[in-house]
Amino acid sequence: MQEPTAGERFLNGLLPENPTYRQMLGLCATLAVTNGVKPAFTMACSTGFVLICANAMISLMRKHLQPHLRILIFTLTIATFVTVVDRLLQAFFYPMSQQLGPYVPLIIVNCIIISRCEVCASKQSLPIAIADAVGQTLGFLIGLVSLASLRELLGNGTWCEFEILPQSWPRWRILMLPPGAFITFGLTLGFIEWFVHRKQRA
Amino acid sequence: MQAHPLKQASLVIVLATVFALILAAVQLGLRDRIAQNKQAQTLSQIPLLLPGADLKKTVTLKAALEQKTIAIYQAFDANDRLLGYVVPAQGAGFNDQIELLIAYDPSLQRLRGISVISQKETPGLGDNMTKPAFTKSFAGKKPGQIHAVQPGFAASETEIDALSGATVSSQSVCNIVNRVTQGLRLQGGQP
Repeated sequence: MQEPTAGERFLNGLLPENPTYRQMLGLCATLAVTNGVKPAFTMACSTGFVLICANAMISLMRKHLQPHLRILIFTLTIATFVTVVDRLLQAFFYPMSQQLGPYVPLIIVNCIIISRCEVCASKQSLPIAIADAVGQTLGFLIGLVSLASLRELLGNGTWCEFEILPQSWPRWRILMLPPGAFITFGLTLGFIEWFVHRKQRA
Repeated sequence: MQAHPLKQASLVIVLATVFALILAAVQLGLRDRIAQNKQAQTLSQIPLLLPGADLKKTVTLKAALEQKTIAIYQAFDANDRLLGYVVPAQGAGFNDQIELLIAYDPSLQRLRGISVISQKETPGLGDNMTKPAFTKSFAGKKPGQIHAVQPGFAASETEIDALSGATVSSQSVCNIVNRVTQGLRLQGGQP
C-alpha cells in the first residue's frame, strides 16, 4: 500500500481524520478543558507543540528504532517535551497553568501523540511527519475550540471572556460543568455523524 | 541472533541522558521565574485578606515552622499601622495537598481569614472551600483548637461550619491552621 504524502497527511488531520470527532482520541483533556475557549486554546497549542516536536524527533530516529523498544522511546520523548511545556506555561502563563492544573502533565498519556508517532513518524520522513503533526494539531484545535465555543457561549454568554449574548439569555450553567462536556460532545458528535452519513448517501 | 542487551538499549540510554540534560537546563532557566510567579500570586492575596494593606509596605519576615525556615508577610496600611501577618501553609487534604494563606491579626491570637491557593478536593463539594462563605468564616476565630462542626452549628470562637458533604476537607483546613499556629515561631522569639 502506498504511504500517504505530506499533503494528504496534513489534510487528513483537519477533518477526515479529525482527532476529536473522527478518531475520538484525547477525550480526557477534551472533556476537561473545554469549559472556556482560552483554556481549550492553550491546551490545543500545548498538545500541538509536544506533537510536532515528538513527531519530528521520532522521524529523525526512525532508522534506529528497535521494534520492541519503540513505545519506550515514544513515551520518553513525549514526556520530555510535556515537562518542557509545563515549565514554560508556569513561567510565562502562570494563571493559565494553575487553571489547567493536572491536565498539562496528562498530555503525556494523550493517545493522539503516541498514535501519530506509531502511525506516521516512525515510518515516514521528517517533512511528512511534521506535516502530519501540524494537520493533527489543527484538527485538535478545531475540535477543542468548537466544543469550548458552544459551551462557553451557551453556558456563560461569553466567548473568550467577551460578553456576546445579551443578559436576557438564560445562561445554561450545566454546560460549563462536567456533565455539560458530555452533553455537548455527544450532541456535536451525533450531528457530525448524521451530516457525514447524509452526504455519503446522497 | 539477538544483539547484546546494552547495544539494543543504546538509543534509549543516549536519549535518556540527552533529555535529562535538556530538562535540567529548562529547570535551571525557568526556576526563578516560576518562584516569582508563585510569590506574586501570594502577594496579590494580601490586600484581600487584610483590607487596606499596602503592598509596598509589606515586610517579609523569616519564621521557623517544624524545623524549616519559611517566609511570612507582615502587612501595614498606608499610615504604617500594623494590620497583621499572612503565613503560607500547606497540608494534607481529602484528595491531595492543600495550600493556604492564613491571615492573623497583629497579636497573632485571632484569625482574619484564609485564602486557598491550590487544592484538588472533590468538585462540587470540597472545592467550595475556595469560596468566601468558607474562607471568611475563619475571621475572628481563635486558632490552635479550631474544628469543623455540622453546617450551621458553629457557635464558639473555635468552631467552623463544615462545608456540606465535605467534612474531611473542612477539618483538613482546620488542621493545617491549627498545626501552623502552634508550630510557628517568628525569628526573634515572639510566637
